[in-house]
Amino acid sequence: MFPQGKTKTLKPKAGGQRESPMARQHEAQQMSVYEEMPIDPSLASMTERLQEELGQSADLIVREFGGSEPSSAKTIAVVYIQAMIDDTRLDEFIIQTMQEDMLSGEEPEKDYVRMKDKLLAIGIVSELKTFKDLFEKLFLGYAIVLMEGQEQGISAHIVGGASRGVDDPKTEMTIRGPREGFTESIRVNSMMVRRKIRSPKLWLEQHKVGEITQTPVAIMYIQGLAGEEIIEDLRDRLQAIKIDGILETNYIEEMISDQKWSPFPTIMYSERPDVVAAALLEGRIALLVDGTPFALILPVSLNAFFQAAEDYYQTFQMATFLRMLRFVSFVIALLMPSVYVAIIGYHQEMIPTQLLLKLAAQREGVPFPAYLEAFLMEFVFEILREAVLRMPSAAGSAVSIVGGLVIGQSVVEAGIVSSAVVIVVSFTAIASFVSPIYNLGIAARLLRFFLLFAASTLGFYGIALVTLVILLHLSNIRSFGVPYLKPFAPFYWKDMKDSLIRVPMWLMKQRPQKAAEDDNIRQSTKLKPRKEPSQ
Amino acid sequence: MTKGTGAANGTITSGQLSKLLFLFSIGSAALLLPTAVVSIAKQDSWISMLLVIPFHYAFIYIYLLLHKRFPKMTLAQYAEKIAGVWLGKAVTLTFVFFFALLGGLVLNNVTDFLSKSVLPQTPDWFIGGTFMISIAYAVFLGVETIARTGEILFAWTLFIIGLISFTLINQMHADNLLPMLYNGWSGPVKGIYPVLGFPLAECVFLTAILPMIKDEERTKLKRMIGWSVLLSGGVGVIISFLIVSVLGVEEAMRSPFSVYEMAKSINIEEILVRVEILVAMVWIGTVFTKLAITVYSLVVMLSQMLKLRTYRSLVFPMCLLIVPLSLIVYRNSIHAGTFALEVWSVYAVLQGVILPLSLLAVARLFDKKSAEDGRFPEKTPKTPVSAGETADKQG
Repeated sequence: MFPQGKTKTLKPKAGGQRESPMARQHEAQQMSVYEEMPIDPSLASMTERLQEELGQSADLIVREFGGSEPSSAKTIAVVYIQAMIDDTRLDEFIIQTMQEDMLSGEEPEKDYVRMKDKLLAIGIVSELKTFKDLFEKLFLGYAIVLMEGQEQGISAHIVGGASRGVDDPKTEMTIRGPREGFTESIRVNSMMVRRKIRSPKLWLEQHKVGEITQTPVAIMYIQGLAGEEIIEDLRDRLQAIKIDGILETNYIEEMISDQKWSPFPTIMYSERPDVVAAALLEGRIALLVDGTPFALILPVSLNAFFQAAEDYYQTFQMATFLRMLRFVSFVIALLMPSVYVAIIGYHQEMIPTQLLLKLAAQREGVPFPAYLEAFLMEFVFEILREAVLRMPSAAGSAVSIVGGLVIGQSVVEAGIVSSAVVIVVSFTAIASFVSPIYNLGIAARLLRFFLLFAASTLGFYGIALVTLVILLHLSNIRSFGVPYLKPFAPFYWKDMKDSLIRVPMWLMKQRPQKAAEDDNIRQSTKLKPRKEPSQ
Repeated sequence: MTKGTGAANGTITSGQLSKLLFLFSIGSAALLLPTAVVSIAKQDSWISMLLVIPFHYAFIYIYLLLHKRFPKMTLAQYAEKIAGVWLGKAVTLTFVFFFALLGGLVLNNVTDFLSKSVLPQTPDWFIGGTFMISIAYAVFLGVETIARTGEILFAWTLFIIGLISFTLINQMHADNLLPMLYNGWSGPVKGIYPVLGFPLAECVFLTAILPMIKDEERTKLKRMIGWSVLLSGGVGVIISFLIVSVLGVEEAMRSPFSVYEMAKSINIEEILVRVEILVAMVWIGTVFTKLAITVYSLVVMLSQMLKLRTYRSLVFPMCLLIVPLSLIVYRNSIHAGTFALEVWSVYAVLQGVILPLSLLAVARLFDKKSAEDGRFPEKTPKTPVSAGETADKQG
């Protein structure tokens, strides 16, 4: 292991913020040793030291070069991690250069400068002073050139290695619209966004999060459109994260979101560069994390979760219709089982007589009360869903047969559950998949059980009460200071243009409110298509 | 935790205030009041509701005038400025009692309605208790949250009222409304009487909420309140018009929840039937807002009278107090009818009109004004709050 760094004394901070005792302890264990450790001018001890630090890891390659004589000492070393670099470029632009003996060997200072500025035919080259810099670059896939007698090293950007190519986004499908989705590489992702917004105002700010993983995290925004306070706030929150590793955006999402305990997501994610670009143009901020094809978008309101990229790629009537549909589906996913239970248990008079007779005939001989049936079937469905998601795809058809046919059909035929409940539960399930952003459906999935409970004890009154409490909660929470129910509550008339309805493009004259107060003209006001005057 | 979060969790806009006022005015009254008005004004009850509108605005105008003199203070605070500390506290105490009783009455309306119409076998205390839990949550979250919830409920309420009125068109019998003004104007004028107390004078809650208006929104305040008064008055007129024309005077007088009864008669081709539960859902929403605001005003005034730094510590005790109060406040429905029709108006007008009016008169006489900011310290970033908390514990 690394030699233990200086341990910080645990001072109780005033106000405490997000500094839990664990976080502080963590800080003490941080690998801050390297900061004070400069690069050793002696090449031999340097390479030995590197090997030692990495525990003789097999994928650390140290290639040394010296004079032509058998006895001559090694003067240059190239250090890299195998398979993280691009082998062709390494061979062509670094190894070959080294082998050509172009350094005098008498004036080390000159040699160093010559090496850095003349010999390395690589785009990105930078100087390293400490071990910290060195490791940072090394594990990003740079090659490090070390020279005898030098207190600096040189890093050369020849990052390579296997990675997934740009592919269709797997979670947010569209029929019309761009077909590319983010990849696991943060650079490729930021490139894809930049390719959509060709403006010098698109700023990218890189941070490192994760004490051990040192994951690159980038804040992207359009300067002037995104709120300065929010960016500053986000920066603060990112820097406050003290965690061993960031492997996916959710690690960050949970650490930075306003609402620690809410089932509702206050940060959106997307796999599509066009969605991110659109969000940036609305004055939102994107957060890219290396190693995952999902980008975080913030701040968002509940509204954003009912909008899909495709809404803007088809006629506004259709987009409006689909948004309404999604909203209704969400309400169905949330309320339908509990409404069924409430009606069957408390308000039978609401059902038209014919239907009531049908339902009563079905329920004849069913041994359980309606709420128990609903609980049971909801539970079975959740198990099925999880099973289908996690199992190897080869077993898929078996589970769907068992789940769909055996359970669905025979449970009704055996008279254990009435078919109405099966219909309700399956319809609810379908409705919960309509949400374009998956994690809003999760909130509905969880709250559904509370509502079921309320409906089974208090009927419609219980549903109304729990709905009111959910509404209160939604009114109360914020995403980075932006009220979650905006633009409905607080009500912003101008933002209604792109809420549950989408007006035609030529009517979207202003940017969403509070993105940039003084510069909110999105487009010219004279774009409405009109008849030619000469006719 | 962050700079943006919760920093402004105590300011509302004029629009939000006017929506709250609308919901409060509709509040519990929408379901209960028509019966009372119809029993006095008979088929002319909608004229009574029309006549009520100027009174409503006049009452609120008193609060607005007081608000102009003390823009950032609630009644509890400027009462002390106007009448001196101890007399002021006494005045505030009467308001505290008023709001506590009002809370009990409103909760009683809820439990009464639900146990009579929807949940006959559930005990009253359970309905009241569960309702009060959600109210406590609302009040605890603060006026801004209540206001935002109110905005959603406002849209929902208007939508359902529109829907109900529309679907009732085929059930209307215009001859129920005739003869108009058979006994002259005395009927409709007398019909104003119960409305004056319930809900007009109850709008004195505004004195606790007006200081929360955002500074830049104050210019719009009068106009928005005017719209709100017009809208709630209009809804009152429509409802009483519909009730009499759909149910007829006799039935409207007999049924304790006539709007609910009226919604039962909705029948569109045997498909859209029995939608009265929608009315109940709307009503629960409006009553929820009314009770939340009432409890909010109660705890705010009480905590300001006691000079507390936040009202939140009082929320749960007060809610616990209101539940049993709601159970004992009426002995039976005869008592309820007599109290609401005859006693409450006097008490409420005294509390909601006469007292503020005399405060205003004294303030004008001695020209008392103050721009002092009496609002609770805002829930700002965590550091000062937690510093305050530790100071509390030490002290």
